[in-house]
Amino acid sequence: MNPARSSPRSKMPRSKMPHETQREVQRDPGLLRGVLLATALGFLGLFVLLPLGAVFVQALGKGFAHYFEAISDPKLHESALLTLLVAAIVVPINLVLGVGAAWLIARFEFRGKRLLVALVDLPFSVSPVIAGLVFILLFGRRGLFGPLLAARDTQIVFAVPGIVLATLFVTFPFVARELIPLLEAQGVAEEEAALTLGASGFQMFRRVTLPKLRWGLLYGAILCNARAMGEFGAVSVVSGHVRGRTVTLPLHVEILYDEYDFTGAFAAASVLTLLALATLVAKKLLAWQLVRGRRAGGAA
Amino acid sequence: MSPPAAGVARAPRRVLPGFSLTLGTTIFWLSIVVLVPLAALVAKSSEVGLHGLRLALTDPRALAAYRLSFGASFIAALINAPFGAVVAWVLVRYRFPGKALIDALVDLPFALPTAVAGITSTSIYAEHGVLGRHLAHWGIKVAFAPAGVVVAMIFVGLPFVVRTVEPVIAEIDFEAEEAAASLGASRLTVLRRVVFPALVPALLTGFALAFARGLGEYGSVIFISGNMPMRTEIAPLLIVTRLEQYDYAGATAIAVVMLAVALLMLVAVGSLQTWSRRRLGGVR
Amino acid sequence: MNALLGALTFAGATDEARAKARTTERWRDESHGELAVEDVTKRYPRGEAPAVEGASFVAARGGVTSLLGPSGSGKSTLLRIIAGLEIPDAGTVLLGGDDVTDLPAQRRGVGFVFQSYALFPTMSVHDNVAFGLSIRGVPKRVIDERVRELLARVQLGGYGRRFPAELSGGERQRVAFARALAVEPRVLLLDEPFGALDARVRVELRAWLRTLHRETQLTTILVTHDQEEALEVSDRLVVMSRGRVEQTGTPEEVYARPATPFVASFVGGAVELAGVVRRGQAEIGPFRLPPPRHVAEGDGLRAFVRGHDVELVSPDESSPENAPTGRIESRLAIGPSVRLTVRLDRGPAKDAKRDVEIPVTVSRDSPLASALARGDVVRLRLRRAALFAREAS
Repeated sequence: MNPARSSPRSKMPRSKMPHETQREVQRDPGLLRGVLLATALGFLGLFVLLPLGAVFVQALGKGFAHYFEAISDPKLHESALLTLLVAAIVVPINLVLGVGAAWLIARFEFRGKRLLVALVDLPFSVSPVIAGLVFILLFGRRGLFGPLLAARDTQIVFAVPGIVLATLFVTFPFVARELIPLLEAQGVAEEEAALTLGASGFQMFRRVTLPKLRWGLLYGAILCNARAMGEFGAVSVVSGHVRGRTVTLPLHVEILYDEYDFTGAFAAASVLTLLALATLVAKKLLAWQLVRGRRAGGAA
Repeated sequence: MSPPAAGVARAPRRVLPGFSLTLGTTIFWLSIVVLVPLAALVAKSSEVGLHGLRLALTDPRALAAYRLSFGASFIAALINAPFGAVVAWVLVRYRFPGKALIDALVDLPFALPTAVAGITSTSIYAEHGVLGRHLAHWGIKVAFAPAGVVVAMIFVGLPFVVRTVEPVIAEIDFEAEEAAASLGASRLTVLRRVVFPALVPALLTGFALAFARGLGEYGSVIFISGNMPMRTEIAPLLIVTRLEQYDYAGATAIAVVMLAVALLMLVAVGSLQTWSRRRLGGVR
Repeated sequence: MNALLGALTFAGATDEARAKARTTERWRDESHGELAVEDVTKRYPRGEAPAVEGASFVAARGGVTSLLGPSGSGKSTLLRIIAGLEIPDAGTVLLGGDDVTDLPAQRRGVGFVFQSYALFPTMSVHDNVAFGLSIRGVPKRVIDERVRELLARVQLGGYGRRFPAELSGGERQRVAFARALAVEPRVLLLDEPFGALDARVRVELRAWLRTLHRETQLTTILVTHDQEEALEVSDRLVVMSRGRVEQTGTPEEVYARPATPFVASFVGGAVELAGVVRRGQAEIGPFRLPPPRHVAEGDGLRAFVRGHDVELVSPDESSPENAPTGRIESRLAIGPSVRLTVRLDRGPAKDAKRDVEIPVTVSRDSPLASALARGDVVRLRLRRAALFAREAS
């Protein structure tokens, strides 16, 4: 063991380190262990694994032929394209602004900071339905800017811009939330070193800060993307459900379900579920990468 | 020595670059995407007036919706807290095959679109569903009943409890457990007297987060609840119903109530975390 | 540095800085010093006491000046102010005669070495060292050559392609030195550079730093809480406590003539005893010493006594004067020396309010040391002590 590898700053990621050297005293007695393990697995099985499996059982219930027919429905493709478009707009915007907000919050002390942090977190605790409602109140036909928009013959609500806005609202905190703890854990010494070596602010950011953040950025982007693609409540309120124009994939699921096309609904749902599973795998891989990077970075 | 330079006030300057830029962009963007829209809500509610708000609070249909939303998310959070803590404990302390998979599965409710969660839960608990079939034998109705709302909220709230409690378990100083054991405490006593008290703040935070999430939840609930006014209609759904009837004032009134509760929860979670930080800080 | 790498010239940020900053009158005399800090005060928003208060010192060109003090004494803050990483509330920082107080860190042309190394984890060792040069637009060929030289200089030739995470703590810190030296800084600022390393590596690097300094002749400021390190490495000491400069001087001066009670207690591991001025002499327990200046009869004294200031009087000595007896309370053999704690026998009963315990350090090889054991009675003589008038309270 190299003592220098465990410099004071590297003690931070202890929470994420696997407990490979569990202490004797921390070992629970066999019976207790069994009960707790069974409880946890049973609870997760009932409330998480069962619904997950049910998606695919229902989607494939009438056989593969039906499933593939449902999957190749052009309406599903249309809605999937819209979902991709919304994510392609929302995720980059959130990435850039998330990095800015994280830098501001993690690196500076200023008056009103606590309020700002609370406001950044606000979309997490507001019901998605309210997130949709506010844009109706702003841009709806009888909303604040309604007459103005009508005069210019532009539509925001019940159109793609409304969907993008509502999605931006609900995904606003994702990237910043992931980056703030990362920046705080990394400390400022490396940035300060870059400054004393003559780097400009932009050079420091591009060459020192950004490379250190890359995994965290990807992590935030994946979470933000999952929410952007899967958002239902907020989008449902502002979409207007205009077939072929404002129906995203989750809304498509709802429409099919309400039309009692269960196979179709679950087939579309299975696509979203696969996306969710891919998100989880990527998240897990990145979390490992982050801990590793943090350990190396923390000690370097 | 030269005369003291004290008194010559220097303009506040920051060493690290980017303060004005990031402050500007963050506030600008926050205003456009979050603050102005929410301000529109508040403006609209002032239009509705106190009378309208009181009406929204006392309208029997709205009252029933609040009761269901608050009641169901409270019960769901109450169930999630102990079970979520056990899941977190198992994930941190035990090693067993498939652990990585289970760990990833905990996040599924974060990642799975709520509409999908809604229809799949409904298919399980409906009359002919895998579980619904058997429960019907016993006369228990979950789908299209308040119990279904609770089930949906358990699903969405679970990761909040697990992911809040997990790091705290990992941070528990093993030496405290060793000390207690060396003082003669049995394992159960150690868990009860040393471990559990350390988890209380995180448990409360997780509970509050899961509760808040359940309150606002829409997508996964509306499929399984059946949406019968006065019986299985949650508050967010009532907002949507009012909107569809072009009753903007009615929708706004309910939304303001929900928003106020959400803000209260935010404050509660914030002070809980401050409290727990102080507590943990005192131990170290 | 210039002698070493003089062949390679390039435009550094230092020239730019020099052009921008004004030259102050008192710096016309070039021999004065390279770096000066005048009346610097820094207060943190939530801190009650200032982190640095009215601190002033001058660092001689080409010398090593150590800022020595316990943690929280403001020494690191002061160093960061010199580097431009903190902005002082008041006071001036002069570099080579120029007022750089308002110059941003990027343009001060200082080399800063952090306790935590602060290497860029995403860059190879080569890219870390090359960073400052590439910022200045130095051609790649020149950079490569210079990085090679610098890595050889810090005894890490051939390490260029490794990454910081693959190095030991001592190696990382040497990379950090190379990175700081690469930009040909006017001064080298070291913030507890060996603080995160284990004891053996720390001692090795200390010796290495002395060699490096001898070869580069770079004006160096070292922040440390380790007095052994400070005494060993530096030409001048600036002892700090609670944000204030307590004393500046050569290590010898500071050790031999501490200017304040704090310095006396912090440097050299002294024990504090109470004394009084009586009959024109300083009375410390049963000992008598010449009194300090500016004290009057009856004044209370604070006496700081180091183990080396006390000697054992040989039992053969006839008519020992001013050499009271005591009983050995404990005996610790610490490497080459033996540390005794001696409880002095009470003098005339009316004087002795309580027992006086005094440390005595003797060489392990001294004939007396080996024979002594706990409980033995010895005769002591106090050679010297640092004496200060007790402030009226």
